Amino acid sequence: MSYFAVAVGGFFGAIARYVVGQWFVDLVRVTGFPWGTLIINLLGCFVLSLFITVALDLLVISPFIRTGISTGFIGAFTTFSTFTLDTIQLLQTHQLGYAGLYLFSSIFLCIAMSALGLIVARGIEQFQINKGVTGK
Amino acid sequence: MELLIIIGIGGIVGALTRFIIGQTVGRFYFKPFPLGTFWINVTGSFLLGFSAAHIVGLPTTQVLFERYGFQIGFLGAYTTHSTFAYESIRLVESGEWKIFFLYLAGSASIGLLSCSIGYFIGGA
Repeated sequence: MSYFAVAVGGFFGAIARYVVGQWFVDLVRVTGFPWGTLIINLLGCFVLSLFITVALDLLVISPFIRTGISTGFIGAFTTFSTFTLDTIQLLQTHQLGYAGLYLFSSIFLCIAMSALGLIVARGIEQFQINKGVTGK
Repeated sequence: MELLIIIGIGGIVGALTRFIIGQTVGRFYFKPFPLGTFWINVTGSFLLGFSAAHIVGLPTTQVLFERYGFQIGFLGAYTTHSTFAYESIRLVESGEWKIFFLYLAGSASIGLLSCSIGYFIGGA
């Protein structure tokens, strides 16, 4: 069952990545910087850690739907291989500043977005707990 | 529309391959270093580098499948950034700073290296 969920998530995650990437095609062409992949990865990193934490602690959803959304959809939505290829191509065309900026933001900003997702998730949990206490 | 279906099918195979590798590694390897995702991202980077060089000068129909089905669909879904970042932040939380830096620097440097090796071999 979880294989099926991962497959469905992977199908839509890959398509969503392509569609969102198309929104940024003009910006990428004008600036020469891979905005599309970076924004997709930043967004996906935030959503994954938020979703995993909330789904484990707060939501009552079956494990296979959780796997379908996290490993399937968000896992396929974000990508690592395009990030490495884009960086290599920036290096090849001697755009060292852009390559450094892209490398730094893809690694550190994505981890920061992941941390932000955790913080927001725990904020939501705390809010729920407080509401439960005062509600009684 | 057909393009989206080709990408989606690549995405199914990519996500399933990642899931199966992750589970298999998780069965035999118990150390805190996220070996599964590391292996997936390094091999995926190699294959994308290879394919990016290999695709140059191919006939249009073949380019269509390799570009949309394999590169964007399969490899895009096979490799993942969100799990990489999530695992990194969990390593920080559990105080595994050394492994955190090793994972981070290793994924970036070996990922970039394998991508360029793939590109080099694919163009040869």
